[in-house]
Amino acid sequence: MIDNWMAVRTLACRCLCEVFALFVAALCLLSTAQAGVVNGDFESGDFTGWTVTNYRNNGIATFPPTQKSHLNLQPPVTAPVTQVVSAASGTPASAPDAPGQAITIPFQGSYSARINARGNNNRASGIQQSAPMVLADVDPVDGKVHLRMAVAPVIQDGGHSPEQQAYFYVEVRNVTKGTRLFYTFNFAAQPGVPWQTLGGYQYTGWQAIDVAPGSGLLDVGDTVEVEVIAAGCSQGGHSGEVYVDSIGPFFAGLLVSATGPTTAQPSDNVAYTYTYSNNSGVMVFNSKVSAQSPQVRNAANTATVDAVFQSVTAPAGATCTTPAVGSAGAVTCDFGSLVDHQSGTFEIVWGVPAGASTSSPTNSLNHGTYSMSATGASTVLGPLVQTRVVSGATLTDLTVSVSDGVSASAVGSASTYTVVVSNNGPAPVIGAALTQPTVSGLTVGNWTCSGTAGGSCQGGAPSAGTLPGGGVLLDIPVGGSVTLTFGATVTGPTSASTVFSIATPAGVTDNNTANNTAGDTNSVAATLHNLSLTKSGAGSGTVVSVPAGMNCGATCTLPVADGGQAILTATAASGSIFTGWSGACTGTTNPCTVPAMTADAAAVANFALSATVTMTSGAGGTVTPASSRTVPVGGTVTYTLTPNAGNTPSASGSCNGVLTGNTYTVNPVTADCNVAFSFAPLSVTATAGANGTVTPLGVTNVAAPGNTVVYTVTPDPGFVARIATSGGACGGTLVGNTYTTNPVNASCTVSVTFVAIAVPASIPTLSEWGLLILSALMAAFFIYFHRRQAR
Amino acid sequence: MRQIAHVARWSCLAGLGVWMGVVAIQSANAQQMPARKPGLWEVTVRSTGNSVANEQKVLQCTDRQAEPIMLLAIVPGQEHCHNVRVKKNARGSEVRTVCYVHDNRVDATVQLSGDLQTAYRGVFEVTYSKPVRFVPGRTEFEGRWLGECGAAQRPGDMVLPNGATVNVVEDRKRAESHGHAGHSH
Repeated sequence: MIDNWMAVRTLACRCLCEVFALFVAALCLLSTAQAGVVNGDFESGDFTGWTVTNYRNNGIATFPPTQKSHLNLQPPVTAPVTQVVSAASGTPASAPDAPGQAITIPFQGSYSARINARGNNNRASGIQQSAPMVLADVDPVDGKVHLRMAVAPVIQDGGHSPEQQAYFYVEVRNVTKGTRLFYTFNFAAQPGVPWQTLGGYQYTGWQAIDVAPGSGLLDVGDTVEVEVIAAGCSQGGHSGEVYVDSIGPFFAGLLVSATGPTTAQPSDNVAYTYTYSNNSGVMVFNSKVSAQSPQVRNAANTATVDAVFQSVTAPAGATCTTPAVGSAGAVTCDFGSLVDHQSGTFEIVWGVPAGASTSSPTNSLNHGTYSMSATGASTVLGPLVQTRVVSGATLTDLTVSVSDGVSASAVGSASTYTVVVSNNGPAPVIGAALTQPTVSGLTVGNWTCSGTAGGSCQGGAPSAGTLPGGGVLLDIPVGGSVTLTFGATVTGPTSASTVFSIATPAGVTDNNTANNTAGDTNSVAATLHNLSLTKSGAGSGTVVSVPAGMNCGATCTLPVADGGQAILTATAASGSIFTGWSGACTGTTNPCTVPAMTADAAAVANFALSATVTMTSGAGGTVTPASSRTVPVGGTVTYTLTPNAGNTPSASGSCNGVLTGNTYTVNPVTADCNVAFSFAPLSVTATAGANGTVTPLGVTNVAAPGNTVVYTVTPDPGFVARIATSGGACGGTLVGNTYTTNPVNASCTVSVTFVAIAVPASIPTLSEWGLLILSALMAAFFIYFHRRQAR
Repeated sequence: MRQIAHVARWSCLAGLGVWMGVVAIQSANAQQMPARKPGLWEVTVRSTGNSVANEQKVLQCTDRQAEPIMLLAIVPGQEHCHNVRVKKNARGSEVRTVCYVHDNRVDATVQLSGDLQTAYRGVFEVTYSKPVRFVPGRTEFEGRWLGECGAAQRPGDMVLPNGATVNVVEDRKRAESHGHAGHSH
């Protein structure tokens, strides 16, 4: 009977494996650059691709909830309102608040989902979607399938006990593997959550959620189910709603996430690794990550206590400000400029408060108060990281990794897999079990086992073939490792995959369960094709691929299974800019998908030297784009200037350019430069000297560029007007007493002076001289005769 | 027996007098409650005791009916208020409220100054009878009148800094409609 059952089970497993393999093959053939989740940004304006389910919150049955069933959601009595809201067209008419009102909340694009809008009266609601993960869901930065989303809750704090409070809940399940990948439960007044409190409301800005458990746990071809739920308080009086946006593999913007230990003890030092990236499509400036102390309730559950800062390790070039060692506060690291697709990591060590609670449900050290900001991009909060605080436990951190060094294999080829198990401490382990729960598309051969720093396999190397159910037991001192290798023959037909898990022995707790499972999955075909890449241009940069394997110098190649695709992502180096693709990839879209390959292919990534146009603008108007821009040397930037009513734009700075109307085009740039825009009313200033008047005098605003200003110029008698033509003069025409300026396109002056009318000082002509002499002679003759008569 | 009836009659009259007095005082207090000019107000709130929330800016659409709730919408714990006292002083008006969130008594003191027509400023402090996770501490605020409410805005609408809109008046009604089911005091 048992044998029959085993046979049936084996047959069923084989069938399922074959169906699964065909499914993966179909996905490999059909997958495009489209991510698996449909309408994850809700830009369709509705819930296309999603299932909306309404519930009633009767109170949480198991607190804190770690799975949906713990929420104890019941069929609804009063229907909640779950809707898609828009920044462009406003909220729907059915909105319980502000119907038809434009909102500013969408994280990206024009739409967001609003779940359980103002949902009180025990109302709860959720959206759910099952989606197959495809190649486009893999982030080339780490080669993992990612499911990201942004959430922004608005919850009323009813002052209830935690299990009665309004909340939001997110869960991601791997349907294919039957595992739960992620959940987060955030209730009103929960410590460690970046709640902003205003009156009775608690809300946050957009929080990022990033689910990426790694190969073997979430692979291309797996079907993932994502569910987001919001609920009012179980006492009925208070609402809980959550906005959701951008559910998919990437954010078109900034992103920060953190990982930390899953278990710690009071007074332990815990290290969080923060990963930040810029996927905004442009270079961003002044990028910063700021992290507040994680928080936990105290042992008496009467207050929230902060973790204290211990140390920070930042990459070269970054500068960090910190609180004093041993004090709570904020750590802020400045990474300067980040080009598109640039990412990095850094580490902060926090000290768990000595008085932290070690009893469930208050023993969670919560860290959600960290964010990333940059000039030219929206600030985003990182996802909540939770660490369970316990006492009296023996903790250590075991890690496992596996790789065969390639991402594609030919049927019948031989591979060598290397499995490394390490113990990061602080406790040694005797008899840690390494198991191999998944093997498909491979025939496992012989094993070897070797150790460093005292690590070893109990009983030596395992026997040939897949590890038995109980696995192999390992002894690993702190700082030691064990390396196992096995040869394998690839059988495919479409994929070859194996997963390993490491478990601590009884009495020891692993303080970071996120690194206890690892897998390696290759695409498989009868033949492989080479995808070659060449980098060209005066600039420089890197190109990485999905599937992983391409990260090279000037040229390199990636083997791709027949019919498979590859996605290439280019990242420019500092001082360079990516300008586009040619060959097997075309255009400027980054990343680029190489279509299904049936032969060898070659792609070219072009990089140019770059220059940055640093833009600043003053009050009185706006500038688009609103930030500085990096362009290829010889390129230009065109800014659209929108002055406030009555204002006129002007430009200055080391970037020369042309201002035509409200458009400013920077001349081709050869080096970094700057441009400053200012906005001021367009005006003409008139002045008048003595001996005359000018009307109107002083500053006259000009309603619109191109208008003229008319002056009445009245000289005193004997004087005439003189109007200056240099020194910022408007220029114009004087006809009679009316002076009309030329069309005014920039503020200018009309300067009038008045001068006396001059009397001509002429030289007597010859006839005038003759008349003068004749008059003198006649006068002399008259005097002569007059004296003679007098004698 | 007659004496008992006499005492009872006088007790009733005395009780009626006290009740009328309380009603009169409450009526007088209600009339003295400061009210802002109807329209759209921008209110900036600065908390000095909470490192997470340094400054928040909200928009409030108010009218005569909504104003008694809207004016104090930035103050936490203003549910089930049983005692609201308003007193004029040299700086303006002082509002004291005694409210209950669940079974937690919340005493709030709000000092207001300004004409409430174009601009005002103030400060509030809140104390709780039982520990809570977020104590805002001394919080300063200032408001300025922006103009009429938007075409689609309703009195009671408050736009939070994250862009979401809530209607404070309706939320208050919803919360208080569950007074006996959700709040034991």
